[in-house]
Amino acid sequence: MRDMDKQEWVSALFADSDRGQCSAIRLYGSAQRSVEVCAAVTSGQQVLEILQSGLCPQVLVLDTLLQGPGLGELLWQLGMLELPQRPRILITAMPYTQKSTARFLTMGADCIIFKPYTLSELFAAVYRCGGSDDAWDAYRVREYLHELLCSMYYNRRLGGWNYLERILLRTVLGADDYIAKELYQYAADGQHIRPGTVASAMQRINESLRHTGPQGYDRLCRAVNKPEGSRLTNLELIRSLTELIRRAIGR
Amino acid sequence: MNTERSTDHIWPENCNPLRGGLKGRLAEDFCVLQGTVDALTRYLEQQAPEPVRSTGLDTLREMSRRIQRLERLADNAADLALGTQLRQLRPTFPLELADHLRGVCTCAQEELAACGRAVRLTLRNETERGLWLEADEALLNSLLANLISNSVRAGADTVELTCTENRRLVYRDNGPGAAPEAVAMLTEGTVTGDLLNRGVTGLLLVREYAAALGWKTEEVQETDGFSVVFALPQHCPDPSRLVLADDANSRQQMLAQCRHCLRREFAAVLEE
Repeated sequence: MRDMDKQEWVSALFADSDRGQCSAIRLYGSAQRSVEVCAAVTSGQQVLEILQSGLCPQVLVLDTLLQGPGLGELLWQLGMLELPQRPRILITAMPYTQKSTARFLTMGADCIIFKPYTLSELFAAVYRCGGSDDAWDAYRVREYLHELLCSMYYNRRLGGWNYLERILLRTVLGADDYIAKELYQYAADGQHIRPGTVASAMQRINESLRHTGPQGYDRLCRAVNKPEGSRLTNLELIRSLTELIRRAIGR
Repeated sequence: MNTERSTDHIWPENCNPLRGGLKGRLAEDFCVLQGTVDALTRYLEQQAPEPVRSTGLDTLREMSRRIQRLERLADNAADLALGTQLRQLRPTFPLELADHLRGVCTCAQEELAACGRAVRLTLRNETERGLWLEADEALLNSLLANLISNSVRAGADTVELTCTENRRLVYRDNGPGAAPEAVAMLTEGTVTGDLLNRGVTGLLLVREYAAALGWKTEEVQETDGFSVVFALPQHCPDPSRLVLADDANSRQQMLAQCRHCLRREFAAVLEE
Protein backbone atom coordinates (compact mmCIF):
# COMPACT_ATOMS: atom_id res chain seq x y z
CA MET A 1 0.00 0.00 0.00
CA ARG A 2 2.81 2.40 0.89
CA ASP A 3 4.27 2.21 -2.64
CA MET A 4 0.98 3.25 -4.20
CA ASP A 5 1.95 6.89 -4.63
CA LYS A 6 5.42 6.25 -6.01
CA GLN A 7 5.21 7.56 -9.53
CA GLU A 8 6.48 5.45 -12.39
CA TRP A 9 7.98 7.42 -15.29
CA VAL A 10 7.76 6.33 -18.89
CA SER A 11 10.42 7.73 -21.22
CA ALA A 12 9.42 8.37 -24.82
CA LEU A 13 10.96 9.58 -28.07
CA PHE A 14 8.48 11.30 -30.39
CA ALA A 15 8.91 11.64 -34.16
CA ASP A 16 6.47 13.70 -36.21
CA SER A 17 7.24 15.52 -39.45
CA ASP A 18 5.22 18.54 -38.27
CA ARG A 19 7.41 21.01 -36.37
CA GLY A 20 4.39 22.58 -34.68
CA GLN A 21 3.33 19.22 -33.27
CA CYS A 22 6.87 18.60 -31.97
CA SER A 23 6.91 21.97 -30.18
CA ALA A 24 3.49 21.26 -28.67
CA ILE A 25 4.68 17.84 -27.47
CA ARG A 26 7.78 19.38 -25.82
CA LEU A 27 5.70 22.05 -24.09
CA TYR A 28 3.05 19.58 -22.92
CA GLY A 29 5.80 17.23 -21.75
CA SER A 30 7.36 19.97 -19.62
CA ALA A 31 4.04 20.54 -17.83
CA GLN A 32 3.35 16.97 -16.69
CA ARG A 33 5.24 14.42 -14.63
CA SER A 34 4.34 11.01 -16.06
CA VAL A 35 6.00 10.85 -19.47
CA GLU A 36 9.57 11.99 -19.93
CA VAL A 37 9.92 13.46 -23.43
CA CYS A 38 13.50 12.41 -24.35
CA ALA A 39 13.19 14.27 -27.65
CA ALA A 40 10.64 15.28 -30.26
CA VAL A 41 12.20 15.10 -33.72
CA THR A 42 10.99 15.59 -37.28
CA SER A 43 12.72 12.81 -39.26
CA GLY A 44 13.29 9.08 -39.14
CA GLN A 45 17.04 9.64 -39.51
CA GLN A 46 17.12 11.60 -36.23
CA VAL A 47 15.33 8.72 -34.49
CA LEU A 48 18.00 6.28 -35.66
CA GLU A 49 20.83 8.63 -34.64
CA ILE A 50 19.42 9.13 -31.15
CA LEU A 51 18.98 5.38 -30.61
CA GLN A 52 22.49 4.67 -31.98
CA SER A 53 23.94 7.26 -29.60
CA GLY A 54 22.84 5.05 -26.69
CA LEU A 55 19.59 6.65 -25.55
CA CYS A 56 17.03 3.95 -24.95
CA PRO A 57 13.49 5.24 -24.41
CA GLN A 58 10.74 2.86 -23.32
CA VAL A 59 8.36 4.04 -26.05
CA LEU A 60 8.89 5.31 -29.61
CA VAL A 61 6.02 7.39 -30.96
CA LEU A 62 6.20 7.43 -34.76
CA ASP A 63 3.88 9.18 -37.18
CA THR A 64 2.83 7.40 -40.38
CA LEU A 65 3.70 10.46 -42.48
CA LEU A 66 7.31 10.51 -41.24
CA GLN A 67 9.92 11.09 -43.95
CA GLY A 68 13.65 10.39 -44.39
CA PRO A 69 13.33 7.41 -44.00
CA GLY A 70 9.58 6.72 -44.11
CA LEU A 71 7.88 4.66 -41.44
CA GLY A 72 8.13 1.28 -43.22
CA GLU A 73 11.87 1.68 -43.83
CA LEU A 74 12.39 3.04 -40.31
CA LEU A 75 10.65 0.04 -38.71
CA TRP A 76 12.84 -2.29 -40.76
CA GLN A 77 16.01 -0.44 -39.70
CA LEU A 78 14.91 -0.41 -36.06
CA GLY A 79 14.59 -4.18 -36.25
CA MET A 80 18.23 -4.37 -37.38
CA LEU A 81 19.57 -2.21 -34.52
CA GLU A 82 21.08 -3.99 -31.54
CA LEU A 83 19.43 -2.26 -28.60
CA PRO A 84 19.82 -3.27 -24.93
CA GLN A 85 16.03 -3.22 -24.63
CA ARG A 86 13.53 -3.07 -27.47
CA PRO A 87 11.30 0.01 -27.09
CA ARG A 88 7.54 -0.35 -27.50
CA ILE A 89 6.37 1.34 -30.70
CA LEU A 90 3.23 3.50 -30.86
CA ILE A 91 2.06 4.64 -34.31
CA THR A 92 0.07 7.85 -34.83
CA ALA A 93 -2.10 7.75 -37.95
CA MET A 94 -5.04 9.25 -39.79
CA PRO A 95 -8.05 6.95 -39.50
CA TYR A 96 -8.50 6.45 -43.25
CA THR A 97 -5.07 4.88 -43.57
CA GLN A 98 -6.30 1.79 -41.69
CA LYS A 99 -5.04 -0.75 -44.23
CA SER A 100 -1.53 0.65 -44.41
CA THR A 101 -1.50 1.11 -40.62
CA ALA A 102 -2.43 -2.54 -40.17
CA ARG A 103 0.62 -3.38 -42.30
CA PHE A 104 2.88 -1.44 -39.89
CA LEU A 105 1.54 -3.59 -37.04
CA THR A 106 2.92 -6.65 -38.75
CA MET A 107 6.27 -4.86 -39.19
CA GLY A 108 6.96 -4.37 -35.47
CA ALA A 109 4.64 -1.61 -34.24
CA ASP A 110 2.82 -2.42 -30.99
CA CYS A 111 -0.18 -0.08 -30.94
CA ILE A 112 -1.89 2.70 -32.86
CA ILE A 113 -3.57 5.96 -31.93
CA PHE A 114 -5.73 7.60 -34.58
CA LYS A 115 -5.97 11.32 -35.26
CA PRO A 116 -7.54 13.58 -34.28
CA TYR A 117 -6.27 13.05 -30.75
CA THR A 118 -5.72 15.52 -27.95
CA LEU A 119 -2.27 15.63 -26.37
CA SER A 120 -3.70 14.25 -23.14
CA GLU A 121 -4.96 11.23 -25.15
CA LEU A 122 -1.57 10.86 -26.84
CA PHE A 123 0.35 10.99 -23.55
CA ALA A 124 -2.12 8.55 -21.97
CA ALA A 125 -1.54 6.17 -24.90
CA VAL A 126 2.24 6.48 -24.42
CA TYR A 127 1.93 5.75 -20.71
CA ARG A 128 -0.38 2.79 -21.33
CA CYS A 129 2.05 1.46 -23.90
CA GLY A 130 5.18 1.76 -21.75
CA GLY A 131 4.01 1.53 -18.12
CA SER A 132 2.84 -1.37 -15.96
CA ASP A 133 -0.85 -2.09 -15.26
CA ASP A 134 -0.61 -0.79 -11.68
CA ALA A 135 1.09 2.39 -12.85
CA TRP A 136 -1.65 2.83 -15.44
CA ASP A 137 -4.33 2.79 -12.72
CA ALA A 138 -2.42 5.40 -10.72
CA TYR A 139 -1.94 7.48 -13.89
CA ARG A 140 -5.67 7.53 -14.51
CA VAL A 141 -6.36 8.62 -10.93
CA ARG A 142 -3.85 11.49 -11.26
CA GLU A 143 -5.14 12.59 -14.66
CA TYR A 144 -8.80 12.47 -13.70
CA LEU A 145 -8.09 14.41 -10.52
CA HIS A 146 -6.25 16.99 -12.64
CA GLU A 147 -9.20 17.24 -15.04
CA LEU A 148 -11.71 17.49 -12.22
CA LEU A 149 -9.88 20.19 -10.26
CA CYS A 150 -9.06 22.19 -13.41
CA SER A 151 -12.73 22.09 -14.43
CA MET A 152 -13.44 23.67 -11.03
CA TYR A 153 -10.79 26.35 -11.71
CA TYR A 154 -8.56 25.25 -8.82
CA ASN A 155 -5.21 26.98 -8.94
CA ARG A 156 -2.54 24.33 -8.54
CA ARG A 157 -0.07 26.92 -7.29
CA LEU A 158 -2.12 27.33 -4.12
CA GLY A 159 -0.55 24.10 -2.93
CA GLY A 160 -1.94 21.01 -1.24
CA TRP A 161 -2.55 19.24 -4.55
CA ASN A 162 0.21 16.69 -3.95
CA TYR A 163 -1.22 15.71 -0.56
CA LEU A 164 -4.69 15.33 -2.04
CA GLU A 165 -3.27 13.27 -4.91
CA ARG A 166 -1.45 10.96 -2.50
CA ILE A 167 -4.57 10.52 -0.37
CA LEU A 168 -6.78 9.78 -3.39
CA LEU A 169 -4.35 7.20 -4.75
CA ARG A 170 -4.79 5.44 -1.42
CA THR A 171 -8.58 5.78 -1.25
CA VAL A 172 -9.41 5.09 -4.92
CA LEU A 173 -7.05 2.13 -5.38
CA GLY A 174 -7.11 0.78 -1.83
CA ALA A 175 -9.72 -0.42 0.66
CA ASP A 176 -12.61 1.74 1.90
CA ASP A 177 -11.86 1.51 5.63
CA TYR A 178 -10.17 4.82 6.37
CA ILE A 179 -10.59 7.78 8.70
CA ALA A 180 -9.40 11.35 8.12
CA LYS A 181 -6.61 11.23 10.71
CA GLU A 182 -5.14 8.12 9.19
CA LEU A 183 -5.20 9.65 5.68
CA TYR A 184 -3.47 12.86 6.86
CA GLN A 185 -0.80 10.75 8.53
CA TYR A 186 -0.43 8.73 5.32
CA ALA A 187 0.04 11.88 3.22
CA ALA A 188 2.51 13.36 5.72
CA ASP A 189 4.69 10.24 6.01
CA GLY A 190 8.15 10.83 4.62
CA GLN A 191 7.41 14.46 3.75
CA HIS A 192 8.89 16.02 6.92
CA ILE A 193 5.56 17.64 7.78
CA ARG A 194 2.96 17.13 10.48
CA PRO A 195 -0.48 15.63 9.69
CA GLY A 196 -1.96 18.98 10.80
CA THR A 197 -0.32 20.63 7.78
CA VAL A 198 -2.12 18.19 5.49
CA ALA A 199 -5.42 18.86 7.27
CA SER A 200 -4.97 22.63 6.75
CA ALA A 201 -4.14 22.09 3.09
CA MET A 202 -7.30 19.96 2.65
CA GLN A 203 -9.34 22.69 4.28
CA ARG A 204 -7.82 25.28 1.93
CA ILE A 205 -8.61 23.14 -1.14
CA ASN A 206 -12.14 22.50 0.14
CA GLU A 207 -12.84 26.22 0.58
CA SER A 208 -11.22 27.16 -2.71
CA LEU A 209 -13.21 24.58 -4.72
CA ARG A 210 -16.46 25.69 -3.11
CA HIS A 211 -15.68 29.24 -4.12
CA THR A 212 -14.24 28.75 -7.65
CA GLY A 213 -16.31 25.83 -8.96
CA PRO A 214 -19.78 25.90 -7.38
CA GLN A 215 -21.32 23.63 -10.04
CA GLY A 216 -18.58 21.06 -9.66
CA TYR A 217 -18.89 21.35 -5.89
CA ASP A 218 -22.62 20.56 -6.14
CA ARG A 219 -21.69 17.45 -8.08
CA LEU A 220 -19.29 16.49 -5.28
CA CYS A 221 -22.12 16.97 -2.77
CA ARG A 222 -24.42 14.71 -4.80
CA ALA A 223 -21.73 12.04 -4.93
CA VAL A 224 -21.94 11.67 -1.12
CA ASN A 225 -25.73 12.15 -0.99
CA LYS A 226 -25.64 15.63 0.45
CA PRO A 227 -27.93 18.39 -0.81
CA GLU A 228 -26.50 20.84 -3.35
CA GLY A 229 -25.06 23.96 -1.75
CA SER A 230 -23.88 22.06 1.34
CA ARG A 231 -20.46 22.53 2.85
CA LEU A 232 -18.52 19.26 2.80
CA THR A 233 -16.18 18.21 5.57
CA ASN A 234 -12.66 17.34 4.43
CA LEU A 235 -13.41 13.64 4.75
CA GLU A 236 -16.61 14.05 2.73
CA LEU A 237 -14.63 15.90 0.06
CA ILE A 238 -12.18 13.00 -0.11
CA ARG A 239 -15.03 10.46 -0.23
CA SER A 240 -16.84 12.33 -3.01
CA LEU A 241 -13.67 12.75 -5.11
CA THR A 242 -12.94 9.06 -4.58
CA GLU A 243 -16.44 8.16 -5.75
CA LEU A 244 -16.25 10.33 -8.89
CA ILE A 245 -12.78 9.09 -9.83
CA ARG A 246 -13.82 5.46 -9.30
CA ARG A 247 -16.83 5.99 -11.55
CA ALA A 248 -14.66 7.62 -14.22
CA ILE A 249 -12.03 4.89 -14.27
CA GLY A 250 -14.56 2.08 -13.84
CA ARG A 251 -13.38 0.63 -10.53
CA MET B 1 -6.82 5.80 -26.58
CA ASN B 2 -9.40 6.92 -29.12
CA THR B 3 -9.16 3.95 -31.45
CA GLU B 4 -12.96 3.77 -31.60
CA ARG B 5 -12.81 6.76 -33.89
CA SER B 6 -11.21 4.58 -36.52
CA THR B 7 -14.39 4.10 -38.53
CA ASP B 8 -15.75 7.56 -37.96
CA HIS B 9 -14.64 8.84 -41.33
CA ILE B 10 -16.38 9.28 -44.62
CA TRP B 11 -13.57 8.39 -47.01
CA PRO B 12 -12.75 4.86 -48.05
CA GLU B 13 -9.22 3.59 -48.42
CA ASN B 14 -9.26 3.85 -52.22
CA CYS B 15 -10.04 7.55 -52.17
CA ASN B 16 -6.44 8.72 -51.70
CA PRO B 17 -6.29 11.69 -54.07
CA LEU B 18 -9.44 13.21 -52.58
CA ARG B 19 -8.58 12.73 -48.95
CA GLY B 20 -5.06 14.08 -49.38
CA GLY B 21 -6.38 17.31 -50.84
CA LEU B 22 -9.20 18.01 -48.45
CA LYS B 23 -9.99 15.97 -45.39
CA GLY B 24 -6.50 14.68 -44.76
CA ARG B 25 -4.49 17.86 -44.74
CA LEU B 26 -7.17 19.84 -42.98
CA ALA B 27 -7.53 17.18 -40.30
CA GLU B 28 -3.74 17.09 -39.77
CA ASP B 29 -3.61 20.85 -39.37
CA PHE B 30 -6.50 20.88 -36.93
CA CYS B 31 -4.86 18.13 -34.91
CA VAL B 32 -1.63 20.15 -34.61
CA LEU B 33 -3.53 23.33 -33.79
CA GLN B 34 -5.56 21.60 -31.08
CA GLY B 35 -2.33 20.00 -29.78
CA THR B 36 -0.74 23.41 -29.37
CA VAL B 37 -3.77 24.68 -27.48
CA ASP B 38 -3.69 21.55 -25.26
CA ALA B 39 -0.01 22.10 -24.48
CA LEU B 40 -0.46 25.77 -23.63
CA THR B 41 -3.48 24.93 -21.47
CA ARG B 42 -1.56 22.32 -19.52
CA TYR B 43 1.39 24.66 -19.12
CA LEU B 44 -0.77 27.51 -17.80
CA GLU B 45 -2.68 25.18 -15.47
CA GLN B 46 0.55 23.99 -13.91
CA GLN B 47 2.93 26.89 -13.98
CA ALA B 48 1.42 30.31 -14.56
CA PRO B 49 0.69 32.80 -11.79
CA GLU B 50 -2.62 34.65 -11.49
CA PRO B 51 -4.04 36.62 -13.27
CA VAL B 52 -2.15 35.37 -16.37
CA ARG B 53 -3.39 31.88 -15.61
CA SER B 54 -7.13 32.50 -15.57
CA THR B 55 -7.07 35.01 -18.45
CA GLY B 56 -4.90 32.71 -20.54
CA LEU B 57 -7.06 29.67 -19.80
CA ASP B 58 -10.22 31.55 -20.78
CA THR B 59 -8.60 32.57 -24.07
CA LEU B 60 -7.48 29.02 -24.79
CA ARG B 61 -10.95 27.62 -24.02
CA GLU B 62 -12.37 30.06 -26.55
CA MET B 63 -9.72 29.03 -29.08
CA SER B 64 -10.61 25.36 -28.58
CA ARG B 65 -14.24 26.13 -29.22
CA ARG B 66 -13.41 27.98 -32.41
CA ILE B 67 -11.10 25.22 -33.62
CA GLN B 68 -13.98 22.77 -33.14
CA ARG B 69 -16.27 24.98 -35.17
CA LEU B 70 -13.73 25.42 -37.95
CA GLU B 71 -13.04 21.70 -37.98
CA ARG B 72 -16.72 20.98 -38.49
CA LEU B 73 -17.00 23.63 -41.21
CA ALA B 74 -13.96 22.25 -43.01
CA ASP B 75 -15.41 18.73 -42.82
CA ASN B 76 -18.74 19.90 -44.15
CA ALA B 77 -17.09 21.86 -46.95
CA ALA B 78 -15.10 18.78 -47.96
CA ASP B 79 -18.25 16.65 -47.94
CA LEU B 80 -20.13 19.20 -50.04
CA ALA B 81 -17.30 19.67 -52.51
CA LEU B 82 -16.98 15.94 -53.09
CA GLY B 83 -20.58 14.92 -52.40
CA THR B 84 -21.06 13.08 -55.67
CA GLN B 85 -18.02 10.95 -54.97
CA LEU B 86 -19.49 9.83 -51.68
CA ARG B 87 -22.37 7.95 -53.19
CA GLN B 88 -20.89 4.71 -54.35
CA LEU B 89 -17.59 4.53 -52.52
CA ARG B 90 -18.52 3.65 -48.95
CA PRO B 91 -19.46 0.11 -48.05
CA THR B 92 -23.01 -0.32 -46.73
CA PHE B 93 -24.28 -2.58 -43.98
CA PRO B 94 -27.75 -3.90 -43.20
CA LEU B 95 -29.42 -2.09 -40.31
CA GLU B 96 -32.88 -1.85 -38.85
CA LEU B 97 -33.75 1.82 -39.05
CA ALA B 98 -36.27 2.07 -36.17
CA ASP B 99 -33.84 0.42 -33.79
CA HIS B 100 -30.97 2.64 -34.92
CA LEU B 101 -33.14 5.77 -34.63
CA ARG B 102 -34.15 4.83 -31.09
CA GLY B 103 -30.46 4.88 -30.18
CA VAL B 104 -29.94 8.18 -32.05
CA CYS B 105 -32.87 9.80 -30.16
CA THR B 106 -31.43 8.79 -26.77
CA CYS B 107 -27.89 9.93 -27.66
CA ALA B 108 -29.11 13.21 -29.17
CA GLN B 109 -31.30 14.01 -26.18
CA GLU B 110 -28.36 13.43 -23.81
CA GLU B 111 -25.89 15.39 -25.91
CA LEU B 112 -28.30 18.29 -26.31
CA ALA B 113 -28.87 18.34 -22.55
CA ALA B 114 -25.09 18.56 -22.14
CA CYS B 115 -25.19 21.72 -24.31
CA GLY B 116 -27.95 23.14 -22.12
CA ARG B 117 -30.79 22.50 -24.61
CA ALA B 118 -33.82 20.56 -23.40
CA VAL B 119 -35.24 18.92 -26.53
CA ARG B 120 -37.63 15.96 -26.63
CA LEU B 121 -36.86 13.50 -29.39
CA THR B 122 -39.36 10.72 -29.96
CA LEU B 123 -39.59 7.82 -32.34
CA ARG B 124 -42.84 6.42 -33.75
CA ASN B 125 -42.45 3.05 -35.31
CA GLU B 126 -45.51 2.24 -37.43
CA THR B 127 -43.94 -0.79 -39.05
CA GLU B 128 -44.66 -4.35 -37.98
CA ARG B 129 -41.29 -5.93 -38.65
CA GLY B 130 -39.04 -2.89 -38.58
CA LEU B 131 -37.49 -1.09 -41.51
CA TRP B 132 -34.44 -2.89 -42.81
CA LEU B 133 -32.11 -1.16 -45.22
CA GLU B 134 -28.58 -1.23 -46.53
CA ALA B 135 -26.89 1.96 -45.39
CA ASP B 136 -23.65 3.54 -44.33
CA GLU B 137 -24.35 4.59 -40.75
CA ALA B 138 -21.76 7.42 -40.88
CA LEU B 139 -23.82 9.11 -43.60
CA LEU B 140 -27.05 8.39 -41.74
CA ASN B 141 -25.69 9.86 -38.49
CA SER B 142 -24.38 12.95 -40.28
CA LEU B 143 -27.77 13.48 -41.95
CA LEU B 144 -29.64 13.23 -38.65
CA ALA B 145 -27.08 15.38 -36.76
CA ASN B 146 -27.52 18.17 -39.31
CA LEU B 147 -31.33 17.94 -39.28
CA ILE B 148 -31.50 17.97 -35.47
CA SER B 149 -29.01 20.84 -35.00
CA ASN B 150 -30.93 22.79 -37.65
CA SER B 151 -34.20 22.29 -35.75
CA VAL B 152 -32.71 23.22 -32.38
CA ARG B 153 -31.07 26.34 -33.77
CA ALA B 154 -34.41 27.37 -35.25
CA GLY B 155 -35.95 27.12 -31.78
CA ALA B 156 -37.73 23.75 -31.88
CA ASP B 157 -37.97 21.82 -28.61
CA THR B 158 -39.72 18.71 -29.94
CA VAL B 159 -38.58 16.46 -32.75
CA GLU B 160 -40.49 13.41 -33.93
CA LEU B 161 -39.16 10.69 -36.21
CA THR B 162 -41.63 8.27 -37.79
CA CYS B 163 -40.92 5.04 -39.65
CA THR B 164 -43.88 4.11 -41.83
CA GLU B 165 -44.95 0.77 -43.33
CA ASN B 166 -44.51 2.09 -46.91
CA ARG B 167 -40.76 2.63 -46.33
CA ARG B 168 -40.84 6.32 -45.48
CA LEU B 169 -38.95 8.19 -42.77
CA VAL B 170 -40.76 11.33 -41.61
CA TYR B 171 -38.80 13.96 -39.69
CA ARG B 172 -40.92 16.64 -37.99
CA ASP B 173 -40.16 19.44 -35.51
CA ASN B 174 -42.26 22.13 -33.81
CA GLY B 175 -40.03 25.05 -34.85
CA PRO B 176 -41.01 28.03 -37.01
CA GLY B 177 -40.74 26.05 -40.28
CA ALA B 178 -38.47 26.46 -43.30
CA ALA B 179 -38.19 29.29 -45.84
CA PRO B 180 -39.65 28.49 -49.31
CA GLU B 181 -36.12 28.69 -50.81
CA ALA B 182 -34.90 26.06 -48.35
CA VAL B 183 -37.82 23.80 -49.27
CA ALA B 184 -37.04 24.20 -52.98
CA MET B 185 -33.42 23.38 -52.30
CA LEU B 186 -34.27 20.20 -50.38
CA THR B 187 -36.86 18.90 -52.87
CA GLU B 188 -35.55 20.12 -56.22
CA GLY B 189 -31.93 20.98 -55.50
CA THR B 190 -32.29 24.61 -56.61
CA VAL B 191 -29.89 26.82 -54.71
CA THR B 192 -30.44 30.57 -54.74
CA GLY B 193 -27.80 33.18 -53.92
CA ASP B 194 -30.05 34.52 -51.19
CA LEU B 195 -30.12 31.10 -49.55
CA LEU B 196 -26.34 30.78 -49.64
CA ASN B 197 -25.97 34.25 -48.15
CA ARG B 198 -27.96 33.08 -45.16
CA GLY B 199 -25.63 30.11 -44.75
CA VAL B 200 -27.72 26.95 -45.07
CA THR B 201 -24.86 24.49 -45.36
CA GLY B 202 -26.68 22.20 -42.90
CA LEU B 203 -29.62 21.66 -45.28
CA LEU B 204 -27.32 21.41 -48.30
CA LEU B 205 -25.52 18.63 -46.48
CA VAL B 206 -28.81 16.94 -45.58
CA ARG B 207 -29.68 16.81 -49.27
CA GLU B 208 -26.21 15.55 -50.17
CA TYR B 209 -26.19 12.84 -47.48
CA ALA B 210 -29.73 11.74 -48.42
CA ALA B 211 -28.66 11.42 -52.06
CA ALA B 212 -25.56 9.49 -51.00
CA LEU B 213 -27.79 7.08 -49.05
CA GLY B 214 -30.06 6.68 -52.07
CA TRP B 215 -32.97 8.34 -50.24
CA LYS B 216 -35.45 10.50 -52.16
CA THR B 217 -36.66 13.72 -50.53
CA GLU B 218 -40.39 13.54 -51.25
CA GLU B 219 -42.08 16.30 -49.41
CA VAL B 220 -41.05 19.23 -47.25
CA GLN B 221 -43.50 21.11 -45.10
CA GLU B 222 -42.64 24.74 -44.41
CA THR B 223 -45.42 25.93 -42.07
CA ASP B 224 -46.56 24.58 -38.71
CA GLY B 225 -43.07 23.33 -37.95
CA PHE B 226 -40.56 21.87 -40.37
CA SER B 227 -41.05 18.39 -41.71
CA VAL B 228 -39.42 16.33 -44.41
CA VAL B 229 -40.32 12.88 -45.80
CA PHE B 230 -37.64 10.58 -47.17
CA ALA B 231 -38.56 7.65 -49.40
CA LEU B 232 -36.15 4.81 -48.66
CA PRO B 233 -34.96 2.41 -51.38
CA GLN B 234 -36.30 -1.17 -51.50
CA HIS B 235 -34.27 -3.72 -49.59
CA CYS B 236 -33.78 -7.44 -50.24
CA PRO B 237 -32.35 -8.87 -47.03
CA ASP B 238 -29.41 -11.22 -47.14
CA PRO B 239 -29.92 -13.48 -44.07
CA SER B 240 -26.21 -14.16 -43.57
CA ARG B 241 -25.43 -10.43 -43.28
CA LEU B 242 -28.37 -9.85 -40.93
CA VAL B 243 -26.87 -12.25 -38.42
CA LEU B 244 -23.62 -10.30 -38.48
CA ALA B 245 -25.42 -6.99 -38.05
CA ASP B 246 -27.24 -8.24 -34.95
CA ASP B 247 -24.01 -8.56 -32.98
CA ALA B 248 -24.26 -6.63 -29.67
CA ASN B 249 -20.70 -5.43 -29.91
CA SER B 250 -21.13 -3.87 -33.33
CA ARG B 251 -24.35 -2.22 -32.13
CA GLN B 252 -22.47 -0.65 -29.22
CA GLN B 253 -19.76 0.55 -31.60
CA MET B 254 -22.36 2.04 -33.93
CA LEU B 255 -23.91 3.95 -31.03
CA ALA B 256 -20.51 5.25 -29.90
CA GLN B 257 -19.89 6.57 -33.43
CA CYS B 258 -23.33 8.13 -33.50
CA ARG B 259 -22.70 9.86 -30.17
CA HIS B 260 -19.34 11.18 -31.38
CA CYS B 261 -20.92 12.57 -34.55
CA LEU B 262 -23.80 14.24 -32.65
CA ARG B 263 -21.49 15.63 -29.95
CA ARG B 264 -19.22 17.26 -32.50
CA GLU B 265 -22.11 18.77 -34.42
CA PHE B 266 -23.89 20.12 -31.33
CA ALA B 267 -20.74 21.34 -29.60
CA ALA B 268 -19.74 23.33 -32.68
CA VAL B 269 -23.17 24.75 -33.46
CA LEU B 270 -25.06 25.14 -30.21
CA GLU B 271 -22.56 26.13 -27.53
CA GLU B 272 -22.60 29.84 -28.23
